[in-house]
Amino acid sequence: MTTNETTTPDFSEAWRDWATQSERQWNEFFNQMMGTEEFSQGLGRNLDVFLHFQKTMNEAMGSVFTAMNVPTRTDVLALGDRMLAIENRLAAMEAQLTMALAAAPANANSAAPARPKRTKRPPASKEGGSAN
Amino acid sequence: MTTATAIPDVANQVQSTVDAILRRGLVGLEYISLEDPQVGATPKDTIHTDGSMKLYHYRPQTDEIYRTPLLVVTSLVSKPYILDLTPGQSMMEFLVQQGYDVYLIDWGVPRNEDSGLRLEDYALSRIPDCVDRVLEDSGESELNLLGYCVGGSLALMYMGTHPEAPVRNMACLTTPVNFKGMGLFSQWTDERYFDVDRIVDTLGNVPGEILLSAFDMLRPTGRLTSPIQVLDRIRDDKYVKSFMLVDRWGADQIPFAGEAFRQMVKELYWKNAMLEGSLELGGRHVDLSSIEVPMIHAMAQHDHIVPYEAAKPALEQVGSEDTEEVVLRGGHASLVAGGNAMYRLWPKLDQWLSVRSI
Repeated sequence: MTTNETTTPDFSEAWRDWATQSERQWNEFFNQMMGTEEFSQGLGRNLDVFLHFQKTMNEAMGSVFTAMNVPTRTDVLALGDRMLAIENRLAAMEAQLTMALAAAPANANSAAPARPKRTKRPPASKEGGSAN
Repeated sequence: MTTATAIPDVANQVQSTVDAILRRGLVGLEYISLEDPQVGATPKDTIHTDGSMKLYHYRPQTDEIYRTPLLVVTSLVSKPYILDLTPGQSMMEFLVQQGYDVYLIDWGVPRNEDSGLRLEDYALSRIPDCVDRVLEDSGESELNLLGYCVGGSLALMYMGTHPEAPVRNMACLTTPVNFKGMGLFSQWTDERYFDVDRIVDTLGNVPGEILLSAFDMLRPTGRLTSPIQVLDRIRDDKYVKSFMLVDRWGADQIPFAGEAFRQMVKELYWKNAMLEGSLELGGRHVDLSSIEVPMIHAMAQHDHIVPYEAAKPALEQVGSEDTEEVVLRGGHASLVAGGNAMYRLWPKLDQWLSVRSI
């Protein structure tokens, strides 16, 4: 005799378990493979090839740009350095200005909002914990 | 008759799942198509800059704040918005709303001219500058320090070279100290095969794409299984939203300053100098045992980027007597962001910090 209570197979639960286990197994497999000395060696070799290609390209492109009388990457980077120097000087001036303003007598017309008082205490339930 | 009654149930399940997918698909598209999703949105002011670095002060949102300001040191490897992901799921927002006076160092995206930055530029120059600026801005004489990932390592380097640092307490989140415990990363940077000099000399900064590939290789099936995880929890709005933002953050990889990378590989990976106590920065010895302030270290149980073996020794190396180790469920990002963090790390951090911030 059957009852009204039926047990529906939980496909999503089975799917979740399968996906989690598969992921773990595949990751373990790949991690083992990538954790070998041979893999590190191969990775290093590939990186060397890439860097060699990159260096050759940089040099070749630099020559092309110079021949075309167009600024090279190095020239643009040099401009970037000069921009950075200007930015840093501006930042230093801004910091000095901020300090000078802070040192000046309080200005009644100041737009700066008042800061909250630094008097907060933790809720009683937390104050029981150790503190320095 | 169980089979006959089961079929409509299965059909209903399938139907409701498909409906949810369709609904979620439309909402999901909103997240996917957003070119500039609302991240890092907690109101803040920039109070100090140095090159591409910025020091933020989060605007208080409570009538009263804790006396001791909190300075957050973010990672060099990723963008800091993982700590301020989105309104309602932001660690920074949470801390501000709990009454902390929060400052955060955003190292910025290294530019070509930053390729000469070394670890000492971060730990011995920029962090001390930011500490001074925080004390000046808050009018306090001491602060609490919180470091995430490599940001924690930099904070430890700062503390280990400044025994007189005006720091009351320190919190580290999944902070590597033992670089031999960094799993595949330590294998791949094998001194015999990994020509770090050539990389830095050729490329300057290490491009984000190379770093992203390395992170992806740690979980080779991640790109395939992540969408399956989303599908599995398609009905959970909060989860889907935070997943997509965290996923976007993971792909939003920034370059690593060249010289700092060279140092990190040679000193930390090859010599394991932080753990061995032999790390020198700018001619100063990094002595972790000289750190005596109370310290908490929270780590993630399933962190595939900074495994437990890499992070665990941090508390063993410092000279602090008041220490607490916390291992929470989750991974490297979900430790600090998303639903897991909201119910696990953040309340724990608040509990530990609140009584130490008065």
